Amino acid sequence: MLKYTELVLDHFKNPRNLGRIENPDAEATEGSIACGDMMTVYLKIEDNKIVDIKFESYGCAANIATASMMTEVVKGLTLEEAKKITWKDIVERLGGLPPVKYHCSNLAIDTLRKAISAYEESLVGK
Amino acid sequence: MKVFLDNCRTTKVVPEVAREVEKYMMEKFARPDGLYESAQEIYDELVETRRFFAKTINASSDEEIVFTSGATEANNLALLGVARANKKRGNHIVISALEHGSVMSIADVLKREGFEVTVVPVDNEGMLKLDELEKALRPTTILVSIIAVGHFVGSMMPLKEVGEILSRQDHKIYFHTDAAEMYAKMPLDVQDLKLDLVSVSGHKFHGPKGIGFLYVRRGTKIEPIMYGAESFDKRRPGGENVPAIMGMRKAAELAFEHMEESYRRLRELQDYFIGRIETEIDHVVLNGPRGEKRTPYNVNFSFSFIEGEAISLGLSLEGVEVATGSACASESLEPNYAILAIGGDHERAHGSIRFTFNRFTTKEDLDYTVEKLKKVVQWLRNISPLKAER
Repeated sequence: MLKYTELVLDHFKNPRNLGRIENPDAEATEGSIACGDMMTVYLKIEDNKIVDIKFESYGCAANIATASMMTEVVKGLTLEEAKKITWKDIVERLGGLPPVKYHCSNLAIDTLRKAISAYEESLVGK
Repeated sequence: MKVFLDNCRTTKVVPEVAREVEKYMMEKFARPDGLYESAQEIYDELVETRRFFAKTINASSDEEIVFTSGATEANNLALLGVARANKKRGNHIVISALEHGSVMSIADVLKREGFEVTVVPVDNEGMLKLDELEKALRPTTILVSIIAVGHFVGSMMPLKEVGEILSRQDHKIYFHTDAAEMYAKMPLDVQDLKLDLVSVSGHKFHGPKGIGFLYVRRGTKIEPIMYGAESFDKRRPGGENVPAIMGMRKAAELAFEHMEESYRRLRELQDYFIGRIETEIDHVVLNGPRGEKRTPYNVNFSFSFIEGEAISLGLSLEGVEVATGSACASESLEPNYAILAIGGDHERAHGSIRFTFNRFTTKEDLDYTVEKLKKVVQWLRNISPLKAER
């Protein structure tokens, strides 16, 4: 039986930081259509800090809600701090998820980390 | 406004049925197996009620009706009971790719017991491939089980043709159908369709949950799957759920009374609903057949670029309740097998939404649903990284 917390439903209905950033400092897409979950994260970074973050999601309510919460949590953090955020942190902030939905919360963190890596790689050679 | 469009899962009990159930709980509460007057009365009523159900499917005798706890138990009794009782004659069973989950699970049990199971594929509309069925038959085939109406994509299976094929074989092959989505919604004649076993569920036509029956043609070799004390029906021992049986009967009486009119009315509403969705929402695919091959009680669409669990939850927040074939909405995280069986890919399964009607569904219900659907689909497409063109 799938049952979401009020907070999850709130993030699903009113996702924070939704959409795209034009000319982002980094972006990354993770997941696949075949799996039923896919996400793109856009980052704006200044002085090693995430000053803006937006996301788009093809996925279930848990996917959308965890992405939304993740963006709220990491906005304003340094890259080092953001990299330490785990899926468990996000799920706890949401008041929990049905166990079958854990993999969806992984995707939010995976996509964030991939975007940060893309940013760090883009610095090399600059 | 609340609109319930998951009537293939279950339906609301109507007041006449609830009153009947109450009567057999509070007043006529006896069981049929006592020697006193109230028990004898219930015995006679149960026999008469079996006769009623037998008549609704043109069965020849009341003894061919076995009350069960629903279609799942009826399917268990039909498949396990017939396979086990006939294993000396053969060990091969044939089912379709669109069987209900209960039949799929029972087939796995039979495989563990040493039976061989062939799954006959369906075409892109969800119609059984009759040539494949014919090829699947062997001298050791003892039972063929074909769902009457694909419960996810709404395809009405060619039961008559299957019955003809089976009757042409030179040995007896029992023919079973899970008619949960057919009974009391359209005519079902066991003589015409040459059926030996039919599973029926009461809560699919506004009867109580936890009650159904299995039709077993006289002469069918079948073993019980439960054992108990001497009782009204030794094929299914245990105290009869008399209130639910009588409630299911009332529900069937009402359903048959309105059957033809509901069929016609829902067919028109179905055309209207499909038409509105196809003209007012881009990038949609109708899953299952069109027209006469489709039950008028089912519409199923896939919406591209978005995911069905989010659609169904979004609709639910707007008061519209539907089912989805998305892997994300299932405990197993597997995409819906019916969409894959009709040749759809994972994206089509994940984005599929099933709308199922009952005989009280109105045009207003569907208009409301289309408006909310447009809103939810547009909203989810806005937040999706997948787009038609960018």
